[in-house]
Amino acid sequence: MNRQDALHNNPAEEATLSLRPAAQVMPLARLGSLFQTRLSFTRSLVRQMISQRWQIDTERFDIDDDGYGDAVYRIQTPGGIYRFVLFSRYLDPSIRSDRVIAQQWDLAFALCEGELSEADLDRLRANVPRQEAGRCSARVLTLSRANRSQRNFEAVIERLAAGQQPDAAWFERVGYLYRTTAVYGNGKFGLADYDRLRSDPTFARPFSAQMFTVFMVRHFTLAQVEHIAHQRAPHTAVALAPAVKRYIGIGNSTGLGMAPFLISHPQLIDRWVEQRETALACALDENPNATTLDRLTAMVKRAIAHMRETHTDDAEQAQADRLTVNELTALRRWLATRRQTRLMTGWQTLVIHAERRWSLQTQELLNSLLMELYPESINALEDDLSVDPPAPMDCDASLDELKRLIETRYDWALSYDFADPEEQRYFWYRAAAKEEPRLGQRERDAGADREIGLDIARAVRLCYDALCQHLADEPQADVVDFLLAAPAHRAVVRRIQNLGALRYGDIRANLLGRDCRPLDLLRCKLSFFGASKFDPRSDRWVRITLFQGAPLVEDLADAHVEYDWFLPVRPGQAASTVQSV
Amino acid sequence: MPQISHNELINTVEKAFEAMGLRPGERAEAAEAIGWLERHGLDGIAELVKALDHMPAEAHGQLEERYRDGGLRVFSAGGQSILSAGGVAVDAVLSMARRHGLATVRIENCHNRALIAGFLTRSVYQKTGVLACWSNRHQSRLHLVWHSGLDRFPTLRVQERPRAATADQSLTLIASRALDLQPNLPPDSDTHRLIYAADPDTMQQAETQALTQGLTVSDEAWDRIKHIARGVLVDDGLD
Repeated sequence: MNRQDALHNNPAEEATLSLRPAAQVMPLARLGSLFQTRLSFTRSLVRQMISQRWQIDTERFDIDDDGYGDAVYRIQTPGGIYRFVLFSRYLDPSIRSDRVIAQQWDLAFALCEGELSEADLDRLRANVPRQEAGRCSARVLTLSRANRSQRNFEAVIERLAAGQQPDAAWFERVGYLYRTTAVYGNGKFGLADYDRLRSDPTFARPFSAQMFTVFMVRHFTLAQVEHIAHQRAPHTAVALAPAVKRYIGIGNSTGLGMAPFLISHPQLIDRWVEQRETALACALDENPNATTLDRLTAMVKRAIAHMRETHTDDAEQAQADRLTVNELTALRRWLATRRQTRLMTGWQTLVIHAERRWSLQTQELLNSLLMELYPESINALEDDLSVDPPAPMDCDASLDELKRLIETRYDWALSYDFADPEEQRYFWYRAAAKEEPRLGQRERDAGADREIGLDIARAVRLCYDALCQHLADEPQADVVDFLLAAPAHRAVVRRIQNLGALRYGDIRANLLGRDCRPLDLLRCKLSFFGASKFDPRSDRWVRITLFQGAPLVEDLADAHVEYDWFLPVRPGQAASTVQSV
Repeated sequence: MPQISHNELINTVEKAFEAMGLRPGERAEAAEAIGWLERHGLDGIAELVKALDHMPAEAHGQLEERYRDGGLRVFSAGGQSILSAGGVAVDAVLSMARRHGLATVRIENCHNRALIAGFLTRSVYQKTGVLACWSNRHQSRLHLVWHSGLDRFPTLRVQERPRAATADQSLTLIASRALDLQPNLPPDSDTHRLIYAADPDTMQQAETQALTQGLTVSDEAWDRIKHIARGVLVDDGLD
C-alpha cells in the first residue's frame, strides 16, 4: 500500500498529519514560490546513486585538443548497464542560441540502455546531434543538448592551464559551464516510451533518466575543461579543486514548453505535491529540540548566503530575493530567542508566524528547510512519486452528483467571471516552429482558433452551466445522458471525476486571465526537478541551475556519506557545507 | 519504414484528430484507442488510415438516439466512423449494465467498427464483461470482440458468416456484470470457419515487443497522419 492509499484508508493518520488544504497550496502564486526539497528529483537521484553504488566509467574519450569529439561512459547500476553518449562539435558563436528553435548546439548527448555496437554508435552519431530532426530507437532513454557559457568556459580553461584555480565567485551568477535547453524523454522522436521507463529497475522514478542525463553532461563538461587545459599547457595545467568542481552545476533555459505538462498530468502533479505536503506535515509533526533548532539555525544562515549569491536582472525577482534575505534574518532572530529562552513550541508555531508576516517565497523556503531536518521519515516518500494511468470516467454517476462535485471541488474555477474579456485575455497555442507552446493575446494575435486546452477554469464553468441546464430539463439524468447530449464536455467531465478524490491535481488559476504569470508554472515544475537560482529572463522564460554543489562522479563510491548540497554556497564561505549529516 | 514510440503515435494522432475538429475528450480517447490497437498487434494505424476517409464531417456529429427501453438503447451514427463516438457508446452500455442484468447498445450506420476493440478496455475498471459484434457485408464475416472485464486483454475472433446478406453497417455492444458473455467460438480444429483470432497471450507478446522495439509504421501512413496533425500549429512568424 502506498502512502496515498494509506492516507485515504486511514483517516486517523491523515488527521494526525494535517496536510495543508489545496486552497492554500495550489494557487499559482504559491506554486511559483517553491524551492527544491529533499524529494526533488536531483536530490533523490544523488541519494540513489550513492546508496546503490553506481559505477560510472569512461569508455571512450575521443576528444581533441579543442574539446571536440565523442565520449562514451558506461554506467553500471544494480538494475542494469547503460551508456551515456556525447558528441561535442564546433559551433559558430554567432548561431549559438538557447531558443528551442535552434538547429545546432555545442554538445548533443543521449542516455542509452545496454551495450552499444559500432553500428549503434554510428546511428547515434548521425541522429543525436540533429536532436528533433533525428530519429532514435527505443533503446535510447533520453536525448538532450547543451550550449556553452562562453565566458566561464574560456576563463576556467585559461586559469587551469596557468596552474591556477578559477575564482569560485564566477559561479555565483552563472553556476555552470554549459546550459541545457531541453531534455527529451518519454517517447519523443522514437525514444523509449514512459511505460518502459517506469518499469526500468534504475530509472523508474519520475524524470530520473532525464536528471541523470543532466548529471552526466555536468561530469563531461568538467572533464572537458580539464582536458583542454592540459592539452594547452601540459606542464603547468592543474585539475579543478574538488570544492570548486562541486560548485559547478549545469544551467538550464526553460520556456513555456514546460507549462502544458502541469495541466495535462494532473494525477502526477497531485502525487508530487501530496508527497511534498506529506513531508512537510511529517516535519511539522515533530517536536523541536536543541539539536534541530541548532541545525535549522545553521541552515538559515546558509540560506541567507545562498539567496545573497542568487543574482538576477529581473527587478521583481530581485526584490523578492532581497525580501527573503531580510525575512530569513528575522527568522534567525526568532530561532535565537527560542534557543535562549528554551521556549520550545512546535514547528507549527513558526510556520504560522511565517504565514502571518513573511512573503510566500520565504514561507516556502522555510518549509523546504524544515523538511531537511527529518531525512529518515521524509526520504522514504521518494519511491511513491509515480502514478497509474488515469481511469475512464464514471458514466454511471448521476449528473446531480457531478454538479455537487464541481461545486465543492471546483469552487475556485466557478469564481471567475468569463464574461469579462480580461479573464480570457490570453490563449495558448503551438507554434509551427518545433511545436513550441506559446501564449498569445486573443484580441491581437492570430491562432485562437487552434487554442491548446489549458483553460481548465473556463472549461469547468462551461460544463457546469451546460449540466445545470440539462438537469433542469432532466433531473434524473446520468452523466452518460449528459455526455450523449453534450459531447463537447467529455474531457473536462473525465478530469473532474478523476481528480474528485485527489487534493492537489489542479493548479487553481485561470491560465487565460490577465493575472496569469507563466513563470510561476515553470518555477513550480523546476522546483520539483531540484532547480536553484531562479533567474527570469523575461515573463516567458527562466534560467536555473541544476546540480550546483552536488557530489561528483568520483564522490559516489562512498556510500557512508550523505552529501548536504541543499542551497549551495560558494566554497570558502563560512556558511558553505560540503558534506555531513 | 520509421520506428516510432507509442507516446509519439498517440500524441500525433490526437493532434490529427484535433485538426480534424474532433472534440477534446473524444479525440484523446480515440487516439488512445488507436494506440492501444497498434501496441497490441491489431493494426490500429491501418484502421485509422481507413477511417480517415469517413471522418472529415465528424466534427459536429454525435450519436442520435433512435430507441430506448430498459436495457436497450439504439443510436444512429449517421454514417460516421465509430472513432469519435466509441467512448460514449461503450460508456452507455457499461452504465446500463449496472442496472440491468443484460445491457445492449446498438449503433446503426457506422464505419470502422474494428476500432471498437480499442475502447473496450475500460470494462476492466467496471469489472463488467462486454461483447462487441458486427458483420461485414462484403466479406461475409462476423467479427467478435469479447472482454471479460477481468483480464487486461480481450479475445478477438473473425469468422465466416453464411448469412452475410442480412449484414448491415451496425455495431452491437452487449454488457453484463452477471452473465458470462464469452461467445460460442468454433473449435480450433474447425479452421475453415475461423479466419482470424487474437487472444490475450498474443496481445501480451505484441505489447512487450512494442515497448522494447517501438512501433513500425509505413512512411505513407505516418506522413499522412503527421501532415494532418500539422493543422493544429500556428505560424506566428516569431522565429
